[in-house]
Amino acid sequence: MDGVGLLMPVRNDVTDASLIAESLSSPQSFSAIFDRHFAVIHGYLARRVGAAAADDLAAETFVIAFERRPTFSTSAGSARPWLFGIATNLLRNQWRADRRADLAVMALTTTERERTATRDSGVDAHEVLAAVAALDPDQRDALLLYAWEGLSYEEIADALGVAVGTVRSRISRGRGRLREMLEAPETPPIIARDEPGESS
Amino acid sequence: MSDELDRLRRARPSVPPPSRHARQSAQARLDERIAHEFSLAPSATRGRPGRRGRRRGRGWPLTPPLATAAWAAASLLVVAIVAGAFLLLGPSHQGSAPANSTPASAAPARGSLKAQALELWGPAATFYASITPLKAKAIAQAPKLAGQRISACQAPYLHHLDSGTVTSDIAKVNTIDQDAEEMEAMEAAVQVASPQLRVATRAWAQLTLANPTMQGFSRGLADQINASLNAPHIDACRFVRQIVAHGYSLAWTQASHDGRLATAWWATVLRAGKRQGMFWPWLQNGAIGREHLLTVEQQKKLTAMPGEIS
Repeated sequence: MDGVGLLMPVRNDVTDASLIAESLSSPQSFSAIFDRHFAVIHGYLARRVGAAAADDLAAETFVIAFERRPTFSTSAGSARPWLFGIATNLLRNQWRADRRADLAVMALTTTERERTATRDSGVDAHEVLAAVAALDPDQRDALLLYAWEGLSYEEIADALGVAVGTVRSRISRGRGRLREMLEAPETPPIIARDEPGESS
Repeated sequence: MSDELDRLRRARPSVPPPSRHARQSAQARLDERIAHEFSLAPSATRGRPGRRGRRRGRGWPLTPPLATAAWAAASLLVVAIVAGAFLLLGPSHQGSAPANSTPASAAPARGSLKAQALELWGPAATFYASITPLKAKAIAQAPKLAGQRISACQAPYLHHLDSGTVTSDIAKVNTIDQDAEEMEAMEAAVQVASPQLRVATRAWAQLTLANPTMQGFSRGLADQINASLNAPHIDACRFVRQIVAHGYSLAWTQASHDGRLATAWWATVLRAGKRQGMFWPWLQNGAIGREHLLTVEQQKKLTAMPGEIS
């Protein structure tokens, strides 16, 4: 029963869509959505910005999801892509709000990642992560949701609110750019690119 | 060939699971937000609570005494805060633009997404403007009262209806019975304001929008409400008694008049739901500020039209 709120019994047989629909009239039903997906969303955010920042962002993701639940499309079934979408938007907003902090976080977490990933897999994580950090934000979001979180193209489209074709294109372009950078003789600097349209 | 995607996957950082403190802290923030809504809008504009799920073995949300006390305390606190804010700010600060009006900014360019969103909102604005507060209350109450009445007459049979596994015959009977109950409740909701709703659904059905997502939503919404507006009346209490009289037979339930009626209604509602498709994710999750095409109030009201199962 670990992680199950005081108010709700375990309800593994119910879809996310049903729970969210029910939460419109019984708000406490939304706690089950938290129980189901918190760890996954937290893990995603931790990989992106580090565990410390992920704690706050993951909590915020579920508060926003609760507030926006009337707009959840119940035909979607699982709430996971929707939650990934909210979390990704939060990442973007945070980075927009404080670009300097972003750079610091990015550099710091890349160091953490480098250490962990190198130990775990033996690949040159520093080089790969530095290249990822230099990708266009749209391409980076789509690529990481695909490669790290295992979302399908359709789920990424749901999460980011774009067409499946757009997801395919972003992933393809992101891979191309990644390949170029990884094949280049010099490692790009560990700096996240600006959001599109943002002045530097 | 070890490609860039493979290298990216292998570079995926291993992160520890969230700490107990992080989880508890996040849960507390969510509970606080839920308590706030619970106390301010216990019934909202929705119909009756999760009847469809209850019969599939979910059970009503269980509220132990301690939690009940917490809800009550939170309710009192929030009411006190709201009352205090009212006294401090006074009526002149209450409510900005009415929900059914457009923001005070300049009219959006013809054909723009904003203009299309306002066209989409138009029938809802007309609908909400055409119903009195008394009627709005009746609309909110109707499905709840119907649900309570149906739940009471079905209560003796729920234990058996709930007893099967998902693929069992009794579970399929249960599903059809739920469709009938849902259908009657939705019929009750739309009956209260059927003339006004017909105006709205006609407008949505005739709306031509260049944006395919909004266009699909408009048609789907009209279809979904019309499914309940135009359906023949169903009596869920009578239906469940007939099911029991026929020994919970799946064959009889599927072939019965009410069974076919309820199944067809639910299929129509689902089909209409699919036509609404990607509208809400498109509006809410886009990274380019589309959520501002409609105000929060407009979005809430669009999801709370009588007969709408979003």
